[in-house]
Amino acid sequence: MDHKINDSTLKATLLAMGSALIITIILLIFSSNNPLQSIVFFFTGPFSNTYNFGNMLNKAGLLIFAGLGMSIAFRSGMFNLGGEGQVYAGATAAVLVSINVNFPNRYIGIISAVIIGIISGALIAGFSGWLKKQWNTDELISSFLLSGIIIHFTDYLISGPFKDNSSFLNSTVKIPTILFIKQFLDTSHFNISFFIAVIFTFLAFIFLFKTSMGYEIRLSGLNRKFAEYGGLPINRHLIIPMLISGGMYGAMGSFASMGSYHMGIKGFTQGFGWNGIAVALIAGNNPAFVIPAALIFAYLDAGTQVAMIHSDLSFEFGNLIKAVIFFLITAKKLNLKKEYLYD
Amino acid sequence: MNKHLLTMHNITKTFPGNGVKAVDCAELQVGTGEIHSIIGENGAGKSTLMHILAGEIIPDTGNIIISNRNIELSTPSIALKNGIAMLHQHLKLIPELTVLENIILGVEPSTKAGTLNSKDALNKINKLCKEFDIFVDPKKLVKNLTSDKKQITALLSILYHNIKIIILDEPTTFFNEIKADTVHKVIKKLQNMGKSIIIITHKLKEAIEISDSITVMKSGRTIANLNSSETDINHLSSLILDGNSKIKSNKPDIQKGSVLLEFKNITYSQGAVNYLDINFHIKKYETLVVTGIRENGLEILEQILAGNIQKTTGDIIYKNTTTGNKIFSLRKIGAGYIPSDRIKKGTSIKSSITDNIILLKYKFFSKWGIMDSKKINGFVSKLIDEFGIIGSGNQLISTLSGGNIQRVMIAREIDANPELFIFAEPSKGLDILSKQMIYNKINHLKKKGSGILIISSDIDEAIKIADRVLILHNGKEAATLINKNLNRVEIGKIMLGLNK
Amino acid sequence: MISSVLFMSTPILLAAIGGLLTELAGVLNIALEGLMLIGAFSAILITKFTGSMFLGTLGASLAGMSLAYIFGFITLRFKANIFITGLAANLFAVGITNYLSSIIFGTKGVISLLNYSQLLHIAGNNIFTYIGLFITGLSLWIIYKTVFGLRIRASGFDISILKIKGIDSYNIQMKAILISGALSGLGGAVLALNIGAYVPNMIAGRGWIALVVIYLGRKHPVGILIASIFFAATEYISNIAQGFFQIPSDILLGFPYLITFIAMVIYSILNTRLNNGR
Repeated sequence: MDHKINDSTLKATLLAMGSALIITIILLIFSSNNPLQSIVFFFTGPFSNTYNFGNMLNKAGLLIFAGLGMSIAFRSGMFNLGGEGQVYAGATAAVLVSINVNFPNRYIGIISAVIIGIISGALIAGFSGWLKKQWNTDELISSFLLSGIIIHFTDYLISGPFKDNSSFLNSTVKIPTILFIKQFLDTSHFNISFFIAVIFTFLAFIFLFKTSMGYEIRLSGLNRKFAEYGGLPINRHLIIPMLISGGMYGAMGSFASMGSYHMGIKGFTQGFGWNGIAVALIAGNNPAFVIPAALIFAYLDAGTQVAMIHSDLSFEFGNLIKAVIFFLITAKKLNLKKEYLYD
Repeated sequence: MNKHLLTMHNITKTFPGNGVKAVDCAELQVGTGEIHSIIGENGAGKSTLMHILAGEIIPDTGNIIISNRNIELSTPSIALKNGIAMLHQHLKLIPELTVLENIILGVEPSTKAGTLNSKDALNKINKLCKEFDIFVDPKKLVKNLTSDKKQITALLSILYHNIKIIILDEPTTFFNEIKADTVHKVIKKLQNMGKSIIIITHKLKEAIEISDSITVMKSGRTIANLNSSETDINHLSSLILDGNSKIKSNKPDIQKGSVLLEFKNITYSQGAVNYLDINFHIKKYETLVVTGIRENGLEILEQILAGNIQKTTGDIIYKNTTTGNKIFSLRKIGAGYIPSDRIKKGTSIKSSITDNIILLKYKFFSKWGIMDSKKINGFVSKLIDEFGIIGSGNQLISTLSGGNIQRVMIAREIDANPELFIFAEPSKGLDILSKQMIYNKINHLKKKGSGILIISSDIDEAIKIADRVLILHNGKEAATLINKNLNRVEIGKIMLGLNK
Repeated sequence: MISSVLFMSTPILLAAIGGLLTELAGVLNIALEGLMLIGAFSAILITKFTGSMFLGTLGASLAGMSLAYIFGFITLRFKANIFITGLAANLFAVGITNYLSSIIFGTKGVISLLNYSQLLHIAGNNIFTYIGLFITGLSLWIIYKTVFGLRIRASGFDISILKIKGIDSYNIQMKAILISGALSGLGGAVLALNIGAYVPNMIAGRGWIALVVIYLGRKHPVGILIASIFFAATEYISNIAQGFFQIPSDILLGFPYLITFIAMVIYSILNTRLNNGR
């Protein structure tokens, strides 16, 4: 089975991560009054107290969901660029359900809200897959555009009809306290969703490598001609991987709102969708490596945030690091010689 | 004649993967203004040798000398600069560009501002057309051309350059007599201009009539170099077809089975050109080999069977049910099939042996959608043993040798025990041991009651395993013979059109 | 009204013409959005420091080209996945503009030009409208009448044929990418200089719209011009509608995405029908 990572992938991953790290340090040096201290904060910050550490783990847990979904989509050869909108929609749907429905008890309430979040994300992405199947509409562009529509519509919901007018934040009212997913580790956001993410990782691995549908998805993504030749149902796998990746983004969103923020905040996603892609790529689209990839990514993110307090770095600085990773992570040929191959 | 314009000396090329020498110490000499034909069976190494000359394949050993200069032809553009160009069978044209644009690409006449000087180009092309008495509208898009006009476009794009040596790969394969005549006139004209022309051809009559000298290739080696005035068709065909006469004709089985598949008056044509015209049936308990020159209909037949293209006329009938206007879909009827394109289609080379081998059976090993790894591993190791695959289940196909990849495919298809089994070019690029194993497996499958259809350009193979042999000549069914005391010369002459 | 629609179409038109060259050359360019963003930021940055809008515009093009070069180099030389490097270019643009903005101006918000003067108008039309139309015409000439254009169209089909003809496809594709960087940067500059300020998120999906416009315009400069004007007209109408119906600004911001999405789906439906008809 091809769930082992090969040499050139590993090389590209290390190169991408190493470059990201170096650039981070260079930027810290340039933008901090006390570079050495910033760098120390960057590396040790996430471990300096339980609050930082808990938040980092929580972030990693959320990233795991997104990374798993994208791994499955990438494996099938589909591109879902609508993660931002799907996370946002999932989070907001879960919040709106929590606010507006009276649940008999907290477990049914939390579970229903999360499932609604997952379904919202799944349907949005699945729609792009369906368009692809029906009319060969490019899913890469359609998922992005759809996400743009969803983001602005959700913005409107949060700052319009569902806005909490008593709050200075641009947000909805808080969900009922009884529906909060319990947080441990002091005041950090860390909660049970991290462990659910770990279970999902296991499930995703089984799905991809041990089920017949996973088999069909992997082979259709690797070699469509071969899958067609073998009579595999390739058209079905334009929709299912999109549903899964959208659903995972939805899970990321609903766990973020139910477990961390407890309300719908305008524009809270700030790159969550792109982070999912980054994690999947660092993991080589392999669920087995998604957990370490998410941890590394969350660590970079947390380090930047801690260091940020001690320098002039802005929050979106994380985009630069992501960009460097994206630029290099899929590089196949790392030598600079011109090549003429005839094969 | 100056014998020393081009010398290819001691050229050898082994393709990685199967270890078979495609070209083996080949020698070739062509003089200025000479027309030189290269003949031989499919797989004799003609095309590989010419691709080496055109800079498209780099040989393992050997020298290429042009005008007494040793040169290294590492890319097609270097070959072009040295005055060598090849007209491919699969034309290298860009359909979205016009004829003119295709012709001038790479040597565009331009003004100082970088503007295309279409007028100059047009004049030059018109002049060439007049000179060679050919015609194509330079302003038409290539995708809107008929196939012979495309051929003319490709030819013009070579003539447009200042070329010394022109390689033509089967220039008249799909042409009728009149159009072939046009091509011959062009070739003679080129000769008069002092160009050297090398022709790869299967048509022995053509080779003798048009060329000054002929090189015969067999199993990668150049076995004879003859003056065409000193030879004749019988001599040439015996050189080509000469081989192991000890190959025993298969004792044909009595055909006791019912008819499985029937191709009734199937034709395939594009425009005025007819590529295939065939009639056959396959019964259970028998092996039918369709043989001929690969380009003369075998490829098209495979494409129709694979469902990649639609027949033009006729009826495909499987077990009394006609497919009608639908495309023939062999997996739907549970047929086994190994395509000639093993790497892109027959395998997923970035996947493991296991993933490749369970393609037809993965559902069988699944319960509620979960695949049973234990059963799968047992199944895979059983097949690895049975078919002598060297490798383990989780090894990637890309790390295997050609013979091993072949075995993986055969294991997969034969184990599924298909009623109808279609196999294209079974022994292409295989060593003797693998070949024998494959033949045994095919025979075994047949004895269990399957109908076997083999598409093969290898005559020896046909004689070895067929119960009946269908021979194509120029895409048309030339004969269907029961494989009793058949020999390669007899079949070879029919496929070359020499039996009359 | 016509002149404002024409002007509003200019940024998309410029980016789409640049994207057309890469598309024809066989390079899918999803980096247009980022290239425009970096152009918008550079235009304001340089204009602010030099006081010259001309230099600002020039600088925007150069900045677009620089990012395009990184994108092209990594994609073509390292054979990296073009979708992912395109994403990288977009994220890089967001990151670097924010970073420089906070370092140089101490804000990641709006950066305005202090002594801002209106853009030059000739015969009632903005100078950039003319530039956009001129570049469209120029692209028509380049694509169909020059050696470079021929080679671009050829490399989009099959670069192995270019190799046989001795043409360096890397060179051709790289040049196309650089031009798309320059034109997208210019498009971003038009947006920013028009309002005399750089606003984060000011590109608002125009790079993606430009990408869709290339397909809707059937990969031809004239078609692209028409499609760009169509999008500008819908933007114009929605702006007017905003005044009448008090549409919430969030909904309004989503409007371009909605229109583009619908146009894209209709296009693919028609395309499928057309192909099935054959």
